[in-house]
Amino acid sequence: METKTIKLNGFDLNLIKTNKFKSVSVNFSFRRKLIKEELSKRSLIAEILLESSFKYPSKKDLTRAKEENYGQRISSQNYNTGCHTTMEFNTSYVNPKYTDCKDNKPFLDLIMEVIFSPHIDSSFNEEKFNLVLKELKEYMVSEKENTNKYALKQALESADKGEVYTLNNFGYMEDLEGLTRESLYDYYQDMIENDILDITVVGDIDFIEFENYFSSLKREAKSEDNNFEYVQKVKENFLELKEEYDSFQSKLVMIFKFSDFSSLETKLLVTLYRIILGSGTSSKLFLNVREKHSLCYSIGANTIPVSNYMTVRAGINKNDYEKAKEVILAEVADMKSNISIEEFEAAKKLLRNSILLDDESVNGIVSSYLSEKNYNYLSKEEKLLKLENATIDDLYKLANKIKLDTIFLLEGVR
Amino acid sequence: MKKIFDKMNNEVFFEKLDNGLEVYIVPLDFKEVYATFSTKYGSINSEFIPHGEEKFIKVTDGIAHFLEHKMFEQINREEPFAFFGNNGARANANTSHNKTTYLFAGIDSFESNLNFLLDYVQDPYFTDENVDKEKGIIEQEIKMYDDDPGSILSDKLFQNAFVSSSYKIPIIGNKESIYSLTKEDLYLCYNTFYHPSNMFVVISGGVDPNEAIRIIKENQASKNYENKPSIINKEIEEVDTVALVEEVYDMGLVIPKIGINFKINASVFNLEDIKKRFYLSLFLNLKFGSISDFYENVKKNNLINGDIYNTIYPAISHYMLIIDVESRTPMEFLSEVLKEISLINFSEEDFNRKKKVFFSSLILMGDNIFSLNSRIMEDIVNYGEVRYDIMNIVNDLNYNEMVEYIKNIDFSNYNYVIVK
Repeated sequence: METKTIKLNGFDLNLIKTNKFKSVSVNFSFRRKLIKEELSKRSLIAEILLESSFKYPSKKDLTRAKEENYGQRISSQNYNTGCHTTMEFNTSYVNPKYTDCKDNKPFLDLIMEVIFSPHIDSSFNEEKFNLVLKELKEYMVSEKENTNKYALKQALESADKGEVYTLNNFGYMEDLEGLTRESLYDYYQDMIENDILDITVVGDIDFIEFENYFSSLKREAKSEDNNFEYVQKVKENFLELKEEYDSFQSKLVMIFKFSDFSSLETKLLVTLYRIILGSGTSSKLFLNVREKHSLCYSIGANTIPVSNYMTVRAGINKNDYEKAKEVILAEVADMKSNISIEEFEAAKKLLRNSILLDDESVNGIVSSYLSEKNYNYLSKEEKLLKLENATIDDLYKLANKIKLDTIFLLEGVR
Repeated sequence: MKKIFDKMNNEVFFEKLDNGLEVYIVPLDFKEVYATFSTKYGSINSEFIPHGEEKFIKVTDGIAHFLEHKMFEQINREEPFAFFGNNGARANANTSHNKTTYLFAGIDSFESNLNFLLDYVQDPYFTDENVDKEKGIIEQEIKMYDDDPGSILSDKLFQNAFVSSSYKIPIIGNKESIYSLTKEDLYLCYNTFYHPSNMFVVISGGVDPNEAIRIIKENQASKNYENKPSIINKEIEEVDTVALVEEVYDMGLVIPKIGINFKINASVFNLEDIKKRFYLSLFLNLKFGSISDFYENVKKNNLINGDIYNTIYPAISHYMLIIDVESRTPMEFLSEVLKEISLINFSEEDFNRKKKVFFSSLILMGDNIFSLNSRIMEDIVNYGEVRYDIMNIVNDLNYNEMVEYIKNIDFSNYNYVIVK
């Protein structure tokens, strides 16, 4: 793989040449400091821009344009990383050399049109604004129907309501009050002009073509805010709560917090920890809670190092709550002093392979590149070297910095 | 024997072993290797003559899926998840209507992983105790789906669409059927359907085809398989009408979901099955996708929330054309669909544009190790062979032929489910 980052007019253009794929992918990543009240606006913008554009003023027209470009895919998403929030636009299309297009221009023109030339009269088109606003509100009121997501939300809010790490990525109903298409458009303009922007291209590409194409995009230079890590407030004693819910299955969520992690622990070792404890079918949680005790079908641990916490989640029978809790906590305790050499070596192998496989998907390539560039994550070579040198004692040391904070049960009463 | 997907530059190495096992290898420029080992046995194989017997029997609902779970129980070797995990590989399995697949994906230890995959699937170990233990796990899986509106919608659409066909049975079964299962039931199904002659291996990714075939041949040569058993599935005649036209299921949702299924007789019109499926898929997209006037109108009139999802599902004697949406006025949406369904109101220009999309999706199948593998598996269970000519088929699709086909379809047999 050949890579090059070019600082253009107020944004970074990251070019990654690989002939592994027959597609070309372009990722636009707009990020800024996370502010709760802005989340719903960002969610609306991510949707409204995909509905139509200035040149293609209906969804039908825009769909036709994508189909004309051999089914070019365009999508958007919002996500939070510690104290930052990011809006991403992704496009992928078949490499022009397999088509009758002579270069990438028609595909790039379309994605640029979607992001930078919205469907406006004086501000966002009223019909489209009303449509996405209605749909976001509908989404918010029906959030509770996904028991997995709802249980997690309730657990996080029970732990630390209002704190930045507990915020969702689509916003809150109260922040939609008084929002107009004009104020949304003002925010959009501010976002386009002032968010930190990375444009990342992956595929069998000619660097010069893309550098020439994107040189026409002009923005003011931005200063980077590097304070993205969230530092947790650790409780003296853990909370334990239940909420009844009209479902067959109960959802158990446990939140654990990290304190005083070193940089290496955050960027690498905690992933090793997670694999052993609860990632996949050879983990302690899967083999013991599910296979040995038959207490659940799904169970897993998820670590969010930038926000310094971990969740353990399982779908159980409500009558098995005490037993499930006991077995899970026993496995977590085991991580402090009872990791076998086989478990450790297997996890290292899995993580090593996962690092090597980052190059085998566009998402993996983009995510690794941007993490390293913007969040000082380790390069692939550094990760492999440090992983090689990691010991079980390193994990015991890390495990002793992890503390149970909250246990939440969404109790199914059907 | 090497074959090539026409115009896609993807090679497939094929070999059929003496014991009947079919092997397909797709080398791709990736480090990782993805290997699947499947049996042509799924939830629809519910009535058959067991190996060594003469009369048809009917087995318990959900048994194929239960059997898949129990394959991970081993006495002669390490537990599969632990084994693959120790080799840095991921492992899993899944059961569908017409096949069960066991798989791994990994970078290292290919020979060891491949041998283990073949060995554990070909060495079942069912006991009363381990069968009982699994019931609690699968009960939780059932409850997980019972809490999911999308799963409920899909299950009920199938259940109500079919009168006799086994497609009406949920793949996972139900709590009562699961708790009635015995190890004898599992062995009976295993011995009938898990002979190599009813199975196939597909390997894609960073693999040397000659090496892979050598490993498989040596592995299978060391096992003693008696002559290929005949597998006789009961042929169940399915009528064109549906079992239940309407069902409303209350889950306390804020916004209801509606799924509408049109049951189409698969033998209508003289055209190859694969072409019919392409035309039906195109038809649904042109009529109800975001390019259609229908979509624009229902959005404008607030009849739906979000997008219209549509899919075509082949069920041997019939196709299911499924449309599902979220809607606060599901009956109004249904009424609009029923008015719209048989109208030929899409242009040749739109049709040709959709062909370009198909073309590019076929080109991009080689961009990961999973898509081509899945394509081959689906071809084998649906058509009995891999369709290397698929690009030619797409190029051959034409608007007039599609219109003629659609005109011959009877859309009067439909059912719908509202989950609210």
